[in-house]
Amino acid sequence: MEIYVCFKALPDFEQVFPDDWNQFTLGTDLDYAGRILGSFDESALEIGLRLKDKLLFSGEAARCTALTLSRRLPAFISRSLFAAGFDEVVQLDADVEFNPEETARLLSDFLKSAPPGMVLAGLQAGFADSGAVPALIACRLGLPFFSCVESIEPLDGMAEIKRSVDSEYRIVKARPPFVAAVGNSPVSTLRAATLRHQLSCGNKKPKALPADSAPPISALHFQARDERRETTMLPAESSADAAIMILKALGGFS
Amino acid sequence: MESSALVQALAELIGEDQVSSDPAVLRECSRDYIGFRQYERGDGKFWEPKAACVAWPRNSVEVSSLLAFLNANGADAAPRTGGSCVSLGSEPVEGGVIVDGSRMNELIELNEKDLFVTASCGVSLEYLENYLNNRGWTTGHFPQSLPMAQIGGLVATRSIGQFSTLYGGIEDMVLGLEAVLPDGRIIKIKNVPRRSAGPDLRQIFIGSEGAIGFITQVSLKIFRYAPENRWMGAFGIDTMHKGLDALREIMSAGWHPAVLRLHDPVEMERDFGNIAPEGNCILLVIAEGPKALAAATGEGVKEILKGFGAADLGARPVQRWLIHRNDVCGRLDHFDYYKMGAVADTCEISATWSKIGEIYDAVLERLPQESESLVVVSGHSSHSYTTGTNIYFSFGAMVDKAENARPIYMNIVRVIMEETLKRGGSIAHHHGSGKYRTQWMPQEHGSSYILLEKIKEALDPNRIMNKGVLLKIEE
Ligand SMILES: Cc1cc2nc3c(=O)[nH]c(=O)nc-3n(C[C@H](O)[C@H](O)[C@H](O)COP(=O)(O)OP(=O)(O)OC[C@H]3O[C@@H](n4cnc5c(N)ncnc54)[C@H](O)[C@@H]3O)c2cc1C
Repeated sequence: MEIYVCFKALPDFEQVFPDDWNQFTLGTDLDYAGRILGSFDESALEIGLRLKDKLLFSGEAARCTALTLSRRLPAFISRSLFAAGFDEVVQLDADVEFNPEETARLLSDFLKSAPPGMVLAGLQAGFADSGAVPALIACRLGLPFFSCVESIEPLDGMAEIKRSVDSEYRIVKARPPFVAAVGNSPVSTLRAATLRHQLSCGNKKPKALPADSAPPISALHFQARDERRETTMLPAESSADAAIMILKALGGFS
Repeated sequence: MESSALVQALAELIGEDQVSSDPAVLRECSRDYIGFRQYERGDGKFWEPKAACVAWPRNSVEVSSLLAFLNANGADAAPRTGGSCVSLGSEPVEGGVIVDGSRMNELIELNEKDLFVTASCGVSLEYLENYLNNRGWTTGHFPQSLPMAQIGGLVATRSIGQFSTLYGGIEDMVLGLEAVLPDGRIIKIKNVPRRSAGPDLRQIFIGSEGAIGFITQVSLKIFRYAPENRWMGAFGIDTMHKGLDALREIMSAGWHPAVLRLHDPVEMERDFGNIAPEGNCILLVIAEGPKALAAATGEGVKEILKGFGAADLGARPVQRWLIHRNDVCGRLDHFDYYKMGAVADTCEISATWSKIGEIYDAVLERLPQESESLVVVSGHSSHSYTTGTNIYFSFGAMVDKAENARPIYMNIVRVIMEETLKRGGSIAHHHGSGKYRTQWMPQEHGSSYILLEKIKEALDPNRIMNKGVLLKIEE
């Protein structure tokens, strides 16, 4: 079984200076902020590895490939992916931002040329990303698509997919290939590999492949909105008191 | 003495509201942030010793009557203020009393003529620093635990701040102090700029870790606060050894930037967004003081670094570090490492220039061999002197169950201690001995260890004060 996990190394937005937020453009240099894995992607990567472990344990063949479309993949991220158990890290050599169709085109072009399997991705890369890429990949590949996935278990050549939709769980059985977008999964962190294992992975490097991306979108404009909320501490003794104060403030009591 | 009788006697002595034996309060007041305790707590295990009670004296006189009573009754006392200790130093002894100075939080005097501030032991450093900043002054003391630590603990641990290369460690900042001896005597060391009247008695208490008395009041030097004059720069440098050589060159040339930090390639990638060329270390510099001096210092340091082939990375990595350097304090009780299944911490040592690089190499080589579940080890130098520097190792290792967190952790610490001692370095640069490094203290001090024993014997003959720190407990 081939397992592909699409991921994106995002700028660590918590580290971005307020000044950069206020005058954000596509070209703003955020390199100083460092890059991290988005939380949904991190879940997807770990779920992919757990699937691989379970398949191997039950005697089936399994391979995990981590796939990213980015020129900016920090070496420590690719190293930790190899050390965690990915057989291959593929880096498509293009930087595409704010263009989900183009991202999906390039990722699915690669997937079309690779042996078929399960394709996992985080529901949304970062908060500024569209969340549309996984579904667009499924459309381009003509594969079934499952969103809001929490876990995937192998099941006799099939997969049991647990989804969290409208505050209820739905369990679906599907035969790969398919595309799954991982959402709020309890599996939230990529496993840490021991240093010995990291060292044993030697100097494995991501496989860099050319990607003929369209020119970057130039017509994007960002505007910082200076919106603040006034906050007041209610001098209430209890929640009932607080409720009455709020109602009064809203004109609910005469 | 029976636990309940002890609690009652203390309540009568300093007031009922000033004493508690509530298990939740005791747990809170026994907390220490050493890595394996964080893991254990994450796992719902509370294995720290259980004190009989915690007592919160409100002034030196109450501390005096408390200690005198405990001393007369042979009850153990564990001093504490901010509770940010990371070395088991603020954990109580089973059945003992936690003497918590955090309610002694009076800012006593700001003397702008003689340039010092006097504060009670429970004044939080962050509060004090903000108070001073608003009036154009600073203590110059910026440990990462600034939002947590209080004056008593900062002095008792011989702490150091991130701007130490200019302002020094706490030992350079304390002008005078007041402390209470175990027999209840209140002693005061006066505020003078310098004197030649015998050994410097302040230093007996600075770093005493609660083992000989309770520090009640401290006078600290103050400096002009002018952050607008800061010069900042970050540099990539290709190896740790070259970086250490560069630090030595900067220090020996006579420059005193406030911040001079050299992070190894692992930290450059992980904590600084991989902004330097791959495999490089990153060196952060902040110079401050009068504008002309800050600028000259910055440019002087830059010139030296140029000679080492350092890549100029601009000021942004430093600005980022400055904003986020203490963020970890807010996450300590989130059990992030426990959730990852890991025990993690830091361990700081120091040595002369000729040995420090060897220690760094030896630790990085030995740890992966001797700690099977190690996932990361890195190091940085953050406090430099003309004669040498420190290395602050960070490590993380996977743990299968809470019982194993401590042995896995101590196995890592052991390697760092051994490699340091082998080369004549110091096993504790600024977190103190606490109770976890005590076993190595005889080797740390060699023939002068006896002085520590004698001081303890003279000042705390009944050995009631913070048993287990600094000195090995006699069987
Ligand atoms: C996130 C984090 C970052 C840190 N960064 C730094 C750093 O940059 N530099 C640094 O030096 N340390 C650092 N530390 C360690 C710690 O903050 C310092 O040791 C600090 O000085 C402890 O102060 P406290 O008030 O919290 O003391 P506590 O934790 O309350 O006590 C520490 C020790 O001092 C003794 N003690 C406390 N109060 C008194 C008193 N009034 N009289 C006598 N003995 C007393 C205690 O018995 C104990 O042994 C860090 C800790 C954390 C958790």
